Order: sequence, then structure tokens, then C-alpha cells
Amino acid sequence: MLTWVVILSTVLVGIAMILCLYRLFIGPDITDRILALDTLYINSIALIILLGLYHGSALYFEGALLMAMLGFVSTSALAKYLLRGDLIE
Amino acid sequence: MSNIAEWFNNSLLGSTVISIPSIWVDGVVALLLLIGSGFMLIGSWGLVKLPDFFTRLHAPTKASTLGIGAVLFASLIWFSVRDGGLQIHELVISLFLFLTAPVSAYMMGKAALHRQQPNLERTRNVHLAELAAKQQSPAANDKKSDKNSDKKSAFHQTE
Repeated sequence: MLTWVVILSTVLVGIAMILCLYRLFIGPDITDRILALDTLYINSIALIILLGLYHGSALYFEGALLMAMLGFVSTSALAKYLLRGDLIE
Repeated sequence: MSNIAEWFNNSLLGSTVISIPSIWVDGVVALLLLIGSGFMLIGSWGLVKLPDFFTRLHAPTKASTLGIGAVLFASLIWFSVRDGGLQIHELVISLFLFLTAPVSAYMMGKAALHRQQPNLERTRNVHLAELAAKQQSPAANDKKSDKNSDKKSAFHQTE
């Protein structure tokens, strides 16, 4: 049962990522695109956790942690660049 | 039906190695996975559907964070039961995400205020948005004021 639930959850998260991509393409302003990228990396963390659960392997957590840290850094860097016009003043 | 499922498992996805520790753990993990992925889908749907940036900011930062918390908690339960003992990797990830999601949401909202994004007609207290967009950090306010005369103003003049 759990195998099918993992596959169904992967499909749901994939649909969520497609919706994020839609917002990334049509976003009226660049802040919408940054928000779509932020949601996209959170969804991809869930996808990689589901992959680790599917394969029964504990090796994917380091990748997920790395993606979480890099996603936060990139989101805050883009927002800071929009806000101040420069990253390191 | 089982034939199709077997074919799907073997040919498309490789052999599955999920072993069931117990039926209750299986049910709890499945329920948490469904709740989590459903909330992530709701968050992304709200990102597409909502009309305004400031309302759009609400959907992923709350619903998706709750969804990924549920998915990570399901993974924590499953690996803890399978391996024995508490596996805290997922707890680290979810703690990090729960700490950083409001910070990134605040920074994106401030950037949108700075860029003067159009907001809805029925937004309350719109006149405060311009004030909030101009608001600077306390260090910048200290530089402007004349009270700190010694080091900062000298540094400011040399600039």
C-alpha cells in the first residue's frame, strides 16, 4: 500500500511543481517569479524525500538539507538584490 | 490489475525495496504523506489562483511549509521504525525550513513593497504601504541623525 501512496504523493507534488512553473512563466513581475522559485525548491525537497522513501535509502537527506540551505540563500540574495540594488555593499 | 502493477513496478520504476514494518506504521505514514502532498498541491494552486502578490505570498509560505513538515515527519517515522532508534535528519531539515520560510517571505514582501506592486482594491491601510516601503534599517537612520557626531559622521564625510 505504501508504495502506491508514495507514487500518488509524487504525482501530487509533480502537479504542484507544474503549477509553480506556470506561475514562473506568466508571473507579472519579478517578485512573483522569485516566489515561484522559492515554492519550487520546497516542492523539490519533498520530491527528493519521497524518492528516498521509495528506495528505502537514507542517503538522500544530505541532498535535501543542501537544497534547503542553498534555496534559502538564493531566495534571500534575490530579494536583497531587488531591495538594495546590490548584494555586498 | 496485479499484473499491470507488477509490470509498472518492475519495468518503469525499478524494483521497490519498501518493506512494511507494521500495518499501523504503514497507515500513519501513508496518511501523513497524503496530507503533506495535498497541502503542497493546495499551496501551489493558491500561488496560481490568487489575484495579488501580497495574497499570493500567503499560499506557499503557509500551506507548503505545513505540507513539507508532514512529509518529513512521515519519513522520520518510517525510517525510525525501520532502523530502530530516532533518526533526526528530517527533523533538522524541517526545523531549518520552519525557521527560514518566514524570513524569506518577509524579504520577498519587502522587495514587493519597494517595487510598489499593485494591490487589491479592498486592501486595508494602503496608505501605510508607502511608509513601509521607505522604512530603512536602524543603522541607516542613525547615520542620518545628527546625534551621533563622532565616528559615523566623520566616516560619512570621507565617503
